[in-house]
Amino acid sequence: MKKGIIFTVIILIVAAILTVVFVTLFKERDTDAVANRVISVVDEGYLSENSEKETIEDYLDYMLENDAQNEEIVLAKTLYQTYDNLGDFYREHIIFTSYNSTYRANRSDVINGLNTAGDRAEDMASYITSHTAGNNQSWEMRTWDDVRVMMLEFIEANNQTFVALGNIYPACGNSQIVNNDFTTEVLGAIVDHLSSYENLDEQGRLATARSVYMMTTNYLKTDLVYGYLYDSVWQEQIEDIKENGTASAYYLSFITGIL
Amino acid sequence: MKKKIVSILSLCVISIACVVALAGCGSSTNVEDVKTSYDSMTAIMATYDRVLNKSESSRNTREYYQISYGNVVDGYIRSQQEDYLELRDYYNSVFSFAMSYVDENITVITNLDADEVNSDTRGTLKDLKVSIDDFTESVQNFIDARDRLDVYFTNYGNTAGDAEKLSRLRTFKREYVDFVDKSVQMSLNLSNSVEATGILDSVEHVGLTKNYICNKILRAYNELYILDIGTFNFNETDDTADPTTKNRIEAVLDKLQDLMDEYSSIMQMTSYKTLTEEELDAIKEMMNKFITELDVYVEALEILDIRTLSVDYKNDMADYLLHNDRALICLERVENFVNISLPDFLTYLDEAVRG
Repeated sequence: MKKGIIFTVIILIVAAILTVVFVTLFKERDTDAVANRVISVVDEGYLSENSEKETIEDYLDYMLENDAQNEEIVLAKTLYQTYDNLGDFYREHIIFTSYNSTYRANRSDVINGLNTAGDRAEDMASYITSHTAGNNQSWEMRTWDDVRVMMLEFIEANNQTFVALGNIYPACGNSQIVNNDFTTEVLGAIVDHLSSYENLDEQGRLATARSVYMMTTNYLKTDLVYGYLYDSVWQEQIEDIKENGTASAYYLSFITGIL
Repeated sequence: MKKKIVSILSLCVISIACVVALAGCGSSTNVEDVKTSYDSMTAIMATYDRVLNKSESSRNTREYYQISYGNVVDGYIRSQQEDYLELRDYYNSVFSFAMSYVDENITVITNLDADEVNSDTRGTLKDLKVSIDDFTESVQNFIDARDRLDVYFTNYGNTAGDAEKLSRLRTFKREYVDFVDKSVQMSLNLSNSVEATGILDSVEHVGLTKNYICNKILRAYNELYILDIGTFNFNETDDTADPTTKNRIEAVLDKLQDLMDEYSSIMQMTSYKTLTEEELDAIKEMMNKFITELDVYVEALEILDIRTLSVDYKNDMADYLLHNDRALICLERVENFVNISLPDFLTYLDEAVRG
């Protein structure tokens, strides 16, 4: 009887210690894995210069030169630039986040989304390289049908990634200077836009892409993000948007990226 | 059986409590002990005023400690090793900053009556006393090391080779860092003690604003400086490496130096605004955000690891990135802190407290 109690107590203590150790190790591993993946994609992967991005963007530019009204291609180019802007922002800040339930809930979406998007970017770049070199214009214009299919998957995967990162950062960012009401509202609006993207028609998608592009270009700037806490005008407007949402007088300007 | 287990457990708890209580008994430090240590420190410093003297800095009107390497050594580094002159100015600046804080705030502790010492303050006094004693000991070590350097250069300065002279300078540099580091630690411990008194929470306290700001921002400056300067090797750069990295780090250090001067001038203002409780709360809130940002900055510095970058990789960032792929991001973060967050905060502070 006595031996049984002692044995059980020892087992419980060992189990508790091992649980704490493993949870700590996994937390570290999880946050490191997400940060490393984001950094590598932005520094070396499909969001870096001299990568698949160059091939794909050159291709999209070429297609637009010959068919400027093709809204699908405009959409693809706008979104690629948006992902580029978002990647730059998260690359700088994702290291300085801490693990919590929001992190746990979103981490696999980030990793899986980046992996899928990376694969599709490689597929697109490979296809473009092998199907466009040396061919005539009308033939090249027909390649879009194939690229389009890969591009749709690429966009879906990126939206998944940046929605997940948009959920993680406001909940887990350690800096109160950079993770402030301003970035929370901006990233929140971007998450809302990208989340609803799949359910929109073509015009709605184009409007969404333009809005998100403008927000990432005009708002995620170092001086604005760092200076927000000292800018009372910005603070009043963001506070108004935070309190009144779509009813705010500033809302429309805000989501179109021109506040 | 059950009773037996309860008895054994009770015995264990009582034994542990006794050990803890006994351990505490031997280490009780009071205000008088701190005062004695501080007096001893100032007496030792006065003994060495031939080295530890203050004069006006060329950078502004503030009186800084202007510790030199000694005439002979200064002559050598002025003509041969200018980086060491720059290093000396940084060290003097950090040292002056820490000592000013100690000199201006030690009375907050030493003037406390026994019945005014709360349990929080009592808990910090031992660390404060130890750090004052450590610093006092380092004064003697520093002076001895400086004298040895001076004697060496006086006797062998004309005959020894540059490699030997540099080796002596490096040895002295380690003593210099230790000396400055101890002064910083002493000021940080004093800041903890002052905060523990609760004096900073009271709006009635005369000079509260200055004390509060000094206390909070002290850590910002001292930790920034000692982390950077203590580890950065100004002389190391691979001949084949892009000099940009070294230039960027030096630019960060220069900016810190300028900001420290700016901060010092804010602290020396004769006219302070009388703040309402709401204004003070707003300052405290902003201060806390700034301190959180400081933690991120320190984390970035640790990941960047300037020592490894400068010593093992000789400031070659391209090579270093193969070993530490976060280094560049962290350098950017450090730059953003020093070039944006810190000046923004100082400007805010200046406007908030200027009378």
